[in-house]
Amino acid sequence: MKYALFLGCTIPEKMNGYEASSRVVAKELGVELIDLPNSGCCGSPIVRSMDEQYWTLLSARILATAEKMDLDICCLCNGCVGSIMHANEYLKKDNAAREDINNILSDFDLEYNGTLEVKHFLKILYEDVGLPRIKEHLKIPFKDGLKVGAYYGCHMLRPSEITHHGDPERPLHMDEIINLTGAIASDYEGKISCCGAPVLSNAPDVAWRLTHRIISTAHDAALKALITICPFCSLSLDLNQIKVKELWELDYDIPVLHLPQLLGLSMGFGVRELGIFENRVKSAMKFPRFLLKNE
Amino acid sequence: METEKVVKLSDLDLSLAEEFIEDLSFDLFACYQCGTCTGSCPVARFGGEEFSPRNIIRLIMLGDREAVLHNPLIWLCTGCYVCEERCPQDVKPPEIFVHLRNMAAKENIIPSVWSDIAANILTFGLMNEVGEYENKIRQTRFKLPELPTPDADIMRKLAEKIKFTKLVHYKPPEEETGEK
Repeated sequence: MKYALFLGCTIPEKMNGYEASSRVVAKELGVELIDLPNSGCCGSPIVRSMDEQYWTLLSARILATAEKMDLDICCLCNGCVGSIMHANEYLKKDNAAREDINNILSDFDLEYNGTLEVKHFLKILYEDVGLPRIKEHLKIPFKDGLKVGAYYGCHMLRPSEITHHGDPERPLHMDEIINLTGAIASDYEGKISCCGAPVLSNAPDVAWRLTHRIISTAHDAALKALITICPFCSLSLDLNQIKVKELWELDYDIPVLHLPQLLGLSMGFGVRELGIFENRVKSAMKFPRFLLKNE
Repeated sequence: METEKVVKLSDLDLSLAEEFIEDLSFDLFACYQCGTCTGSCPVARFGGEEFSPRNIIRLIMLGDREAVLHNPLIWLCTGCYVCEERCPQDVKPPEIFVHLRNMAAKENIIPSVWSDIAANILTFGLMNEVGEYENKIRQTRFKLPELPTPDADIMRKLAEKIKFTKLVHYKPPEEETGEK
């Protein structure tokens, strides 16, 4: 299992703990991640909103670079995976469009022939590594009855005609992975509700209301943590939880862990190696107390 | 919408909707205004704004170019695609919003923070700069490798080639003069 790792913009800038824990977990599970050189932005839904062609070009550029390495792409970010998968699907299906894009790319010695797959890290964990193999590496279970909520985010699930990954409205694959650790992935109303990140820059009030919905319904369901798998979801639920707490005068907080951090703890790695000290809701640091060995 | 407006059937301008039909892979007129999109929309339900994909689609069908392109609400779709999954007629509201925003951008309407993000991408190759300081943090606090330098130069040249730089009124940062 070998993939070209595409990090995008937000992970290296704000989510080093997500990247660190993903690399630790990938290594433990035998998934080899080779950094894509000179990668830059995927285009993102924001560029798409301004100019769809430039968005396709930026993603096509990444596909062309990975194709030279003959490696499928692994993304850790839902925004990146959504953009690059979309471009991939479009360029694979539409020969004329691929020719047009390649004409523009040819000035830079780049060409994409449509040979790659683009996968979110969660999909690699679920489909390529598989539940039994993950289970083998989880040495220390969480205590019985620890309820947490899987938060998938949008673009790894939808639009399903592009993602082909889990039920777009009742996803369970991350829940199944979480359950391997002894924690119980539980439902809550905000489970598939958008975190608001795409409009955070132009309409922060709207974004905060969407974030509040997720945090408050997780609290109503008595969840002990939210588990994310996208830097934008984490930005909304973890970093912006501080803002939401202040605006709605909440008297509680909910720690937010990246899925690889949760898995990493159960594999026996420490808070430091998994970068949990970076998580903004500070009770995340105390999360190891829910592990059986720390009783 | 805050003001009522009467559109006479005899004056109905279908050219706007026709433009959509040419550019998108589905028929906008398949929308029978059931409102599943608005009922499923997190921004409509919890965002605190009078955002309604159904209303916007109706305005396109009625040909009210001004009311859609100059409408600040078109920038509130988060692109979560729940409406697209649920639409009983396979109309794709998020694709409609992308298309509307591309049309608005050509008329110089772009949220200013988004032009700023575009300028960062064109300058640094990333939405925000990851420079020496960030790399130091990556290496010392997280034991991460240095981030490969994004090829901002190629990204900018691509943008110039298809006039994206012009669309977002990109001005390269002033060359640094003198000593650091």
